[in-house]
Amino acid sequence: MSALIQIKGLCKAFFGKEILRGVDLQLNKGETMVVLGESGTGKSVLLKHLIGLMKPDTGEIYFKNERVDSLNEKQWLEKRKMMSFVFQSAALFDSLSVFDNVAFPLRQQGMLEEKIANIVRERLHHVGLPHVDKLFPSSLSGGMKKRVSVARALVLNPEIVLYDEPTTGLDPIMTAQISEMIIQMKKDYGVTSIVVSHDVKSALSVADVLVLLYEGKVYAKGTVEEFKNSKDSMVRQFLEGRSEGPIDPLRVRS
Amino acid sequence: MRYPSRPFRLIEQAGEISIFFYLTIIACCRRMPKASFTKQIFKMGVESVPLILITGSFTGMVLSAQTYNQLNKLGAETLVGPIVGVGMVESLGPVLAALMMSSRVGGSMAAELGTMQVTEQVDALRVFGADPIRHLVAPRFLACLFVTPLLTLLADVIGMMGGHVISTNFFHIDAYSYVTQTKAYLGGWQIVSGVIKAFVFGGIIATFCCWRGLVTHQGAEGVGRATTQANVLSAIGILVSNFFLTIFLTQFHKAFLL
Repeated sequence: MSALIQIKGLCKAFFGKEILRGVDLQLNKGETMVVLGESGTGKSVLLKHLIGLMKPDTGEIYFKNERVDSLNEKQWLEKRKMMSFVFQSAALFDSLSVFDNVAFPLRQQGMLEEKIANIVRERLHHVGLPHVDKLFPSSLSGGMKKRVSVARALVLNPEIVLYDEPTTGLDPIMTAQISEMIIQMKKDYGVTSIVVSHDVKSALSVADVLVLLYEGKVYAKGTVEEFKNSKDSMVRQFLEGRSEGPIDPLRVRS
Repeated sequence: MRYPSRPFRLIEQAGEISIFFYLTIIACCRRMPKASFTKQIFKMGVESVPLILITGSFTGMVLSAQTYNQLNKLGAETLVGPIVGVGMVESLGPVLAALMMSSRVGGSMAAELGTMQVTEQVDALRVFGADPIRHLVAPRFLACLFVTPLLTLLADVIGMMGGHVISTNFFHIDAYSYVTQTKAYLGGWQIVSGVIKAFVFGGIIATFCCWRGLVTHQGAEGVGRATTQANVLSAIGILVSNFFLTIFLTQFHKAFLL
């Protein structure tokens, strides 16, 4: 199987502080990769590089063997038609209703309003929010915003979906629902997904490939079984969610 | 990567603003969301009218009172009308309206776009195939260009009316001579040059404030900083460009229109 996404030696620093220090990854078509790691280790930054919201300081990113890290914004607009992104903060447009938020990507593609209405209603129903279409984001709870954000991201049936902590702030039932949706998108449409998450249970249920990012580098990569059976103390500490172990959560980071 | 020192950062920012202005002009030539444009016209124009009426009328009244006190000593009270008229139309009207726009509208533009930036809404626009400059900046920029000259004309008229009311009622200057003297000194060029200035000021307000909003980072504190800096930047831009525009328009008038 040829790699759909390839990342080589990705480095990124902000105001002199190194966040990513040479990340190497590759993901095949139709696979779901879950990126685990502590807060502030560069998971979201990694994801934003993959959709052209950030440019790497050094390193290369390839989609279908085509280098994309040096594309300009106009070229990225074209490339992003096959991708979507679920933002950590939901990032719904405050000035638009829920319906208009979900309809936004469809309108950008110039789809007819009649068709848009059907798709939007179906997507909102899918995330368990069929009656909120007229509300504005300010009247939704955090979890509802997240679900609308997922509906908006999946509305165009993208080839690649990047999820930035899609289950954070959701109750366990809705977390399971979102995880199920990620698996369903893969089964129905062969969607390739990269999920950044802290939720180990959800990660283990959706992942084909698990990656542990530590201090801006890939520390471990493997299948769910390999992770579950891993003897590595750092992997075990993360999966078991213990504060004692090689990862000191209170350490001063460089 | 080393973070550049302050002088280099200033040069870098000047470059960023120039590119941003260029991209905005390009975006204005393309189709943009009509609803957003009309909404901005309403927010910037209609909602600013009371503020312009108050500031314009009081400035005209103060100008009239101060001018009268000086000219009275020379026995030239009849010149109060022309001084108030020309002063309002050529400089005070455009600068005053633009400064009011900068504090009321510019601050709100920077805060709105800054909030969208820190809550990842600007990134979301890019992800879902929209150009933030075309969607967010172009309607604001065009609305500002359109509305600032109109508000300036309103400030001019209301300022002259304020001056007229004070001069005729308190200083007993003859109403007829006030109007005829003002007409004699106030030419079409003064009105046109005031409108040209207002047009440029509108562009300065929208460019500086939208740019500052879109480069916001560091959450709520960053939005506060963006709003303050946008106000200061556009006020400085208005006052400095007013000087150069005055020189340029005067020379232009002398060279080509006299």
